[in-house]
Amino acid sequence: MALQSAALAESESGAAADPAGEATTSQGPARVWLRVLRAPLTLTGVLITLVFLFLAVIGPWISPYDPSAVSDAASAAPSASHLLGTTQNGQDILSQMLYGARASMVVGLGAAVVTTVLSVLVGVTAGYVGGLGDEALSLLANVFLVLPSLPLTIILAAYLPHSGSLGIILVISVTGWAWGARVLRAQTLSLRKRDFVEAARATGEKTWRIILKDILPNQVAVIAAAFLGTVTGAILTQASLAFLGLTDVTQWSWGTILYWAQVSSALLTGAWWWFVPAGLAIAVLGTALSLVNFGIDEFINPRLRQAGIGTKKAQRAQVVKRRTKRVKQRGPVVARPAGAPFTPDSTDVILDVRDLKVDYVSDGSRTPAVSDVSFTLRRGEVLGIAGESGSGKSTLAYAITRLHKPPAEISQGEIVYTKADGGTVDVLGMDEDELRDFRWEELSIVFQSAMHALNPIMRVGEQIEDVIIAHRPRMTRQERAARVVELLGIVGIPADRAGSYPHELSGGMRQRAMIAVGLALDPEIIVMDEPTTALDVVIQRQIIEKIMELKDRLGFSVVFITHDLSLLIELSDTIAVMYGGKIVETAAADDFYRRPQHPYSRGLLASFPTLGGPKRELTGIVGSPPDLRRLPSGCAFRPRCPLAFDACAAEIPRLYQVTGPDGGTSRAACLLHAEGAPKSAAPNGPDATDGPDTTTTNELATGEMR
Amino acid sequence: MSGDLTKEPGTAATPAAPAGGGARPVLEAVDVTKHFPVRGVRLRRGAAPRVVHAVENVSLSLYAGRITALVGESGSGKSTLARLLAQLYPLTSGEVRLHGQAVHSQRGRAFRDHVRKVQLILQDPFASFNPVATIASTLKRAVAIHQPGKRGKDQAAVIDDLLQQINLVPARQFTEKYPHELSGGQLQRISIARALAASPEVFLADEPVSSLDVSIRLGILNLLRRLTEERNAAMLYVTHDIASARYFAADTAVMYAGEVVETGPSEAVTQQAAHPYTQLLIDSAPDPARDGSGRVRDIGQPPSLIDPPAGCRFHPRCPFAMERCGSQAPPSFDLTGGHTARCWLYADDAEARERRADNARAVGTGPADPAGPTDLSTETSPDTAVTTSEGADAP
Amino acid sequence: MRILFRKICFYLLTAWAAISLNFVIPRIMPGNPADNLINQFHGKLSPSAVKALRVLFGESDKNLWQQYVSYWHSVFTGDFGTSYAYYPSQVSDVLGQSMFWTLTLITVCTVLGFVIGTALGMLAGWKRGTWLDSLVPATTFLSSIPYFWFAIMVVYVFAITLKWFPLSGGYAVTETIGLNGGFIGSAINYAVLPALTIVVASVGGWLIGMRNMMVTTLSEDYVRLAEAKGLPKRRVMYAYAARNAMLPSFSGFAMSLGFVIGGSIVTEVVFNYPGIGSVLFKAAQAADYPLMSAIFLLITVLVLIANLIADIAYVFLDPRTRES
Repeated sequence: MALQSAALAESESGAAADPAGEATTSQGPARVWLRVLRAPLTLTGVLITLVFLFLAVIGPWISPYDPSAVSDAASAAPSASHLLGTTQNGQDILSQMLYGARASMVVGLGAAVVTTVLSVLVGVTAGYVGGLGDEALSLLANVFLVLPSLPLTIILAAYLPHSGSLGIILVISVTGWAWGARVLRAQTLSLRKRDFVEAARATGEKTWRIILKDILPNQVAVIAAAFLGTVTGAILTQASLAFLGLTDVTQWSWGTILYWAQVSSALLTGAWWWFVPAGLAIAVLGTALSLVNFGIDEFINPRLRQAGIGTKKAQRAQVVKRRTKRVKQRGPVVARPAGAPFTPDSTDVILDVRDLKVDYVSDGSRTPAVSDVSFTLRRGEVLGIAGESGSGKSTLAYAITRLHKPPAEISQGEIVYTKADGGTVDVLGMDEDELRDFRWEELSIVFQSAMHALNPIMRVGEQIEDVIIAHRPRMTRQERAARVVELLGIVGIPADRAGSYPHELSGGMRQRAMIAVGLALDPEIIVMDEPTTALDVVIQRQIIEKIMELKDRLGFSVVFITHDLSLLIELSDTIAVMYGGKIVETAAADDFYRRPQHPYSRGLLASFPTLGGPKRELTGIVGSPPDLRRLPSGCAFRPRCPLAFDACAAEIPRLYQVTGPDGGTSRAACLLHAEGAPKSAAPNGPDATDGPDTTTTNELATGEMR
Repeated sequence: MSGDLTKEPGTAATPAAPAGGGARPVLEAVDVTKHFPVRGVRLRRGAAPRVVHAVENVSLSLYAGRITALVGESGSGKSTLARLLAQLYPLTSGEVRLHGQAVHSQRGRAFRDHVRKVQLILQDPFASFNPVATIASTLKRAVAIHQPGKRGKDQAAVIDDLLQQINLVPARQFTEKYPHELSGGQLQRISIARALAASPEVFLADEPVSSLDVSIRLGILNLLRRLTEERNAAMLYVTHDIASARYFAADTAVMYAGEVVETGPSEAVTQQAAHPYTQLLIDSAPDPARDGSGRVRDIGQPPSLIDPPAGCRFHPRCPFAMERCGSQAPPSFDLTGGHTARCWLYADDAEARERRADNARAVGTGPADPAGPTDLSTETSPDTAVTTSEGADAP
Repeated sequence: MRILFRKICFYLLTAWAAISLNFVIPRIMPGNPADNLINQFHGKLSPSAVKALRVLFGESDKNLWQQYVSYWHSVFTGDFGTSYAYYPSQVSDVLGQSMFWTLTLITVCTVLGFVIGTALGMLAGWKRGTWLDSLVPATTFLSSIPYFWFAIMVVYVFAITLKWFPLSGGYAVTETIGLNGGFIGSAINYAVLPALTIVVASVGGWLIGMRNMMVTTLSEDYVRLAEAKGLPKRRVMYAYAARNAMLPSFSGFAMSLGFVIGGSIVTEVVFNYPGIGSVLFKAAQAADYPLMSAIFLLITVLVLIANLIADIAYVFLDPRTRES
């Protein structure tokens, strides 16, 4: 139980932010503790612990006999007068247990207090001070950590003649502080690098106040876990020492009961009542404390609450109702030769998403992250999906690949894929095997952060080969190796890098390797979820050019998702803008750039500073993106929209077709484009020649609050 | 009405001239170098200790009422420089000067005095607040440090006023919240308010909008600009987005691998980039307003800062590199209008002239020619040029 | 391999610290255990035994440094003097006999516990949300039980009540010690219950640690990508999730090993197993300090070696540690 906490503390990674923007990680302290308590196991643990504490406090007053008093009823089995039986000297075991509870608890709590104080002092000092002091202290902690603690404790206890509780507490603390210190040091180190500590430093805050107000409060959970772990450990250690006869065996504790049972051969005489209660009490209390600790662990690391991916539930939760697979045969479509350039009037649809709805389900409530999204992807097309955080764009990316995890759930819609032979299939109706073939043979994904998406302990070449082994079982080893080299060559990685591990590659190289993984089976569609967001512009440019070059050469279609609208306009054929979980505008990239139709699109375009050409007016958008859990009525953009009118609050606009002066058509979900909209506000003003025109007045300085 | 980014960027009502003009810098870095030791055991005794050359010999001046952008990729040392100016790290060599006075104060009262005048605003608003403290208690701490006389009601009034200044009204709606209950934009405003509590003369904004949604960025930038103008404060705007520097800052300095490679008025730096690295940066930035032709092809990446290349640190990637680029570090050459570039292309000799012409052809628009023969040792840092006038930045 | 070099240096340092600690402890503790011991034997001790005691507890006629040097000398020669619990055997002889038993038992049990616990933990994490979740409270309970108490219960059930296995000892007294079938069979028969105790009690810790890491790892992008790649489920589970999730188990090996060894020592007492644990129990009863400190040193050195092996394994399992 100690183990996983250590692992947690060291891999102290912010839990992956949920695309639906669930704010789960940190809340006001009081509420958090309440939530920890809500888990039934945790609550059980707390209750049991409290019962034991209570008994330890009142034990001596309620115990029926003097625990050391000898009586005639020797080795009596449990009876009404001796509820837990007697020892061979006729001592009452229940009374011994009650007295022992106090001794064991005193040692457990006392050792935990001293140990925790030591751990906090050493750990936080080492972590915060850094430098030589840190190195010395952590070396000391590491030395103590690998010293086997029980033998050391035994030695120490043996030299302390007739150790009473105090001696045992000191001995346990001396040998036990190192673990907590190490965990807290790691925590402090990572906290110290956090921005809010740096911010406090930059404000001129004193060091001790930073430790007291910024570092320690954020470690409460870890400290509590270490404390409870030490209580368990100390009670166990005390019991072991007592059992070995290394404590004062005349002082009643659970351990000394067992010691006397052992030396009196209670086992051989069959006096089970003598040794069962003490051991059981230790085990139950230890379990209770561990359960509390699991609650704390799950709180520290929310991921522990998620269902494993090997479960049926995880599979089922993805799609609400499983349809039977429908394969509609159509007339054979003339196969487009790979590499043929995409033309805007193409009707060769490869992926047709209709009315897709993805909900985040929690505690019975459903938050729509993507609602009523429809779009088509044509062969060879680059479809750019733009949106800000919480717009649902990443959820959409995962949903169309069916990679979303609970609590996300597709509640309606279809995703129709057209195979090369013209047959169509609903992706949402696929069973596991079909899905496995579909993913990567037909469609592959490039994730946002290659650093996280590549297995850190596997060679890059092996990770590419993996795909080939799984899908092309008949290929020989040589053929696979040749294919890996070929793929690396395609994305511009030297062949000898196949043997490198991800951490040995630069960020750009890693992203190239990700793309090589995506290309391994020559898929028809590649979904790219912010593939360059983590990269610097120069590297981003290299990667983008590589993607475009490969697309022209290999003829796949791309769904490209990013928040960077300028990048998207440059590389996409078609743009779809998402806002509040919906697509609010789709248009050819060129039309979109010159004549954005939705007020939100216009606001976005007017938020980007440009490098080329004369400077233009930047107006931006007031307010901030909506919270999906509390979408405004009607049009989600209404509160930020400079052109909103009364009807916007009442009606959720559908996508209206808008035809531009030169024939280009866009579709925009804005009532301004509905029949009978107030014409005065309709944005069909004079066309700007070098960028979006804007009619909004700039009031941004007045803030985003409303 | 102020606050839209189309007006001449970053200059207050009293236009302070950039380097070479009359104003005197509020805060400046003079030949600042920062090396971070690389942790680990040295294999041989006597081997030179390995260090990361994070910032090398950088000089930069910030003027009152003026926004200076510091542009570079990740790892270029731009954030380190901002923290050096904030005195969060000790310098390896060089000087940070506040009003011409060298400051060395990482701790104690001197540090607080420095911090009172120079405030840092960090990139990620979600990370820069203690998650278990309310907004009010975070702000109270800042106020208690910088306005220790204020207690109780006065303190609350100060906090209300701070939130007012950053347009979060009514203040009560925010003070009792925890950071996770607010949006990124609101938090970034509050972190600006925290900086305002000190009434600083200099803001060091380290990527203040990079982690925010696009539609929110403009509001924050406008707020920062308004504060700079109203308070006649100096601002360092650290960013990786050179386009935003064009719109937001009066001057721009470009960093590469720990060195400043080009400085000058933002419009000149972005429209007539002189250094091949700046040219690469601009060519790489996505911009639908340009056509995609004539891009510089580049497959390189920034060098290791533990063992940076000799001479010009960009030379291994530079398509215009000459022989001397690999051995001699270029000095800063003055171009027209306060525009400088650390690049041998602007040396005054036949080879450089020829390469410069190549460069001009490749880039399309020729950058300005050097101002004339330049002595390598002088006129490189702005502080040599400010001796003439004084107090020109009075409001 | 610089990292290995550094690891070895660290363990040498730790060994030095442990051995020195063993030197320091008797000297800073209150009272004079040496005199107590000598008095207990009423002059029956040989002069060399008295001298060894003095070396252990501090001779008044030598300064600390000289004492330290002669202490190190006895450590290297393995001369820890005479045992009092087993008087007049030499400490080294007593340990030499018992070490074999403990080493075999603990090595086998630790490996078994680790393998079983990690494998179950992997499954429990992979199938989080199913009945396997009930393994968590169950194993928590098992790992909260004092080892020695669990041993008592096992003895009570399997040896006394059911009489399936022998009650105590390491082998049947009718067998002669040696590499003969009868002895080995009997030794295995006698080892079943102690081994069962240690394995069952230690599985829990490994299981829970592994399960939690597994659950954490499963939400990593690389697992999601592996799934998306259409890899067989087993491949995703082993090569992507489990191999990464196992790493902390190795880096936390030291901690857990200390636990297991401590528990096993006490377990031996219950079974009266002829290993170090039983010897330690006797030594503690008889206040046999020379034997106790020799046992401490022996266990420490063995634990350090085990940790070194775990660290080396870690370096091979995680390529990221190999550089710098």
